[in-house]
Amino acid sequence: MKPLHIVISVIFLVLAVLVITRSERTVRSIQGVYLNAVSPFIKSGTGFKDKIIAFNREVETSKALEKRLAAESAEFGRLQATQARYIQIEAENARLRAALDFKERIPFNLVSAKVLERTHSAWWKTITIDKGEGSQIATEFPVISEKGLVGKVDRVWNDIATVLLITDESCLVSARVEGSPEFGITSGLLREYGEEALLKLDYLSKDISVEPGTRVVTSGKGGVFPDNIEIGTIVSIEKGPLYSHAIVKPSFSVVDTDLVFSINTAKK
Amino acid sequence: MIRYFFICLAVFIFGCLAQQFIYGIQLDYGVGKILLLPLFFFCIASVQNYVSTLFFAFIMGLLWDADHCLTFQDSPISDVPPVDNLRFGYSIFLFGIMGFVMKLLQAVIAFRGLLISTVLVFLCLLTYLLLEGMLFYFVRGAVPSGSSILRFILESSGYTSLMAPLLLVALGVLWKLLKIDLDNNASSLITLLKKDTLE
Repeated sequence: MKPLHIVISVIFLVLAVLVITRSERTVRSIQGVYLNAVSPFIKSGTGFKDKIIAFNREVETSKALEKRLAAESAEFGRLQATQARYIQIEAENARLRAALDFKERIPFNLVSAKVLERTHSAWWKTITIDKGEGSQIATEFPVISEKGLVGKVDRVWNDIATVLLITDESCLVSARVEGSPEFGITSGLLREYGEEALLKLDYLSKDISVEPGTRVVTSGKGGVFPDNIEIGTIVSIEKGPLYSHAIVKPSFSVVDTDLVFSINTAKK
Repeated sequence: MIRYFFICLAVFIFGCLAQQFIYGIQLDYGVGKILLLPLFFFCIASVQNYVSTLFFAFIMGLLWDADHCLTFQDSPISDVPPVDNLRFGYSIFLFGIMGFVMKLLQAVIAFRGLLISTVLVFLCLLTYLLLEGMLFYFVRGAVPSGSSILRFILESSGYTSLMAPLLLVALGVLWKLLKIDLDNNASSLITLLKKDTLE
């Protein structure tokens, strides 16, 4: 090895050590600069994918479309009836709340966002969404889908943000088991890549008695996630000497989730 | 040589942007992914000298980690991270090692043609992903059972290295257009192109 190579190797190592010892804040600003620069390319890739999907849909036969239209018309009618019933119940609920002098619940301030990309490695569990600071999204905002809790905003920039999924081991959510006094903390369970994701609900009481299939929702404690957002359903319970833990199947699936909503939980 | 270095840098930046475009397109979850950026790094490392390779390894590590490395923030639930994460910058070391391996393989790439070069790039990608995966699970303190992680690594390396011949030829054509003298370390493409494409 030439002397120059040794000098260059030492400089390389020193620089690498300098980078690896940077603070979290510096790292986030580096990541911010990078993702701001590349976000137009991620968006154009997603736009291109959407065009391909739209084209595939267009070439469906008219017969299939007719069939689908008929089925969706029936579904639309059913939903209209359900909505009428829902409006009745909501009005009734409002009357009862007024009668009981309940404090008005603050409505969720939701920002819808499209999933640009799912995690592109087997070991990271994040998604990238097409909204950022420009849409009033901030770090730690909860992210939900129509099926339930998805995760929380991890890194955010002008018009793009990454979401840490609840299925990652580093994402903790304060949860409660519906219909029982049990509280716990969920975190992602290490699973095989591509396998159905599962969560671990820790710190349940050692003599817990809940059935598989029971819903697990956010408890609202901790200040990140509002209460009563569905996380998933219990698959099994494993009892321990001090406390028990449950295996929970999350309601959302990263494969099927294309549209998510960020909840603005900033204190006004 | 310096012109060729800047051309390679431009190609590398193009690879970085193309990678982001491809992330957006890839639909399936649970199968291997096309990882253009490491491919560009391995191919460029095979035609550059030692100093340039380390430079590219540094940039590559920065970009790779900026893309997906998680950083822990204070959580109201727990003031310590529930699991450890790889620190930002870890892949600079990994790519440095892999760049060094590419230098060792340069002679083989130079005299064995595109097929062998592609296989070598495949093996390098495979090694890198294995190293990264092992490091990740080591830091997290657990290893998943089963073979799907291995399948992901194999598929990703396979799909990605299919593009290696194209990139190697492109780098060779650029060299030919520039009509520059490469040093001994970076002479691989001359032979490569003479054998497989230009003659």
